[in-house]
Amino acid sequence: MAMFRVIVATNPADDPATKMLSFWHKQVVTLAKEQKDIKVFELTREKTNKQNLTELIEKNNPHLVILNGHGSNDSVFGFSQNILIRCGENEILLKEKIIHALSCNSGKELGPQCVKVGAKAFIGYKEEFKMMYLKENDNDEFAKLFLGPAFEVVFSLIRGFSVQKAFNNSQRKYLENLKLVIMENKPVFNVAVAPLLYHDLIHQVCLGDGSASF
Amino acid sequence: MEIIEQKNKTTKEKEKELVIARLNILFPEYHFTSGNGAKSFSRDEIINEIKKDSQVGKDFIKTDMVFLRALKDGSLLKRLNEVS
Repeated sequence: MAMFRVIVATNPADDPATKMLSFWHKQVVTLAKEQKDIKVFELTREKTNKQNLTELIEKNNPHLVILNGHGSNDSVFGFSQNILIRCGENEILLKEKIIHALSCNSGKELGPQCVKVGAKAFIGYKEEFKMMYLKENDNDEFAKLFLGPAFEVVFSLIRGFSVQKAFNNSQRKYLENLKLVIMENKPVFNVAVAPLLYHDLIHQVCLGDGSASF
Repeated sequence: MEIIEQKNKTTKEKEKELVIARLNILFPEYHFTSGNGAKSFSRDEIINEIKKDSQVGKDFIKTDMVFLRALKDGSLLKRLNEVS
């Protein structure tokens, strides 16, 4: 019997910020489907709630959990900012998983707590995830400077890199983009993009077993 | 104590002016996402948040100043040299 690598992902897409994540998340799904050994289970829009996430994880036992959405120090949210995972409540659901949380602040308390209760690894942000965009679409030239590095974590994991290597690849992309915007002679890059990119670079965290892979 | 508070206030005001001046050279159509709220902010909305000393405004100033300090003290350049 073939062994599949299983992904469970949340994709609420209920406001401008999470819609921008959703555009990029489609690339994750496309890349995953190109691999013959990956199964993706996704919760979108209103279906992104705690009950559905719990059932999906318990039923499919994913190796990788991708949480796209808003967050706080101890929680990540789904549709309409409903809590999906919260410290002291249901973080045990993520035991033995690799987690990528593209959400504000959850790398501060939720990430360490997940690792404490047995998650293999957690990559996320210990402060706000900031970005800038001009238009809500999948090819915005500003958004891609932020989301390219952020999503590199998941792209690398799908391609078989370890957690630590996926994190390093993401950090490298942040630095490449920072270099690009600082050297480019456009005020908007220097003034607006560079500080936000630097913020995301220094607050991205990689916790747990860096040698784990998906 | 009063003199120190006055000096700190002046520094904060200077930072505020610097960040607003930097934002003012952007086109107003640019949008920023910030924090856990579902909101995104236009350039002018961010400037208003800064002027009224809201948490969003304070966070924006902090982000800008951390970047500028890293640029000034060479720590950012050091990291950028990590990539060829």
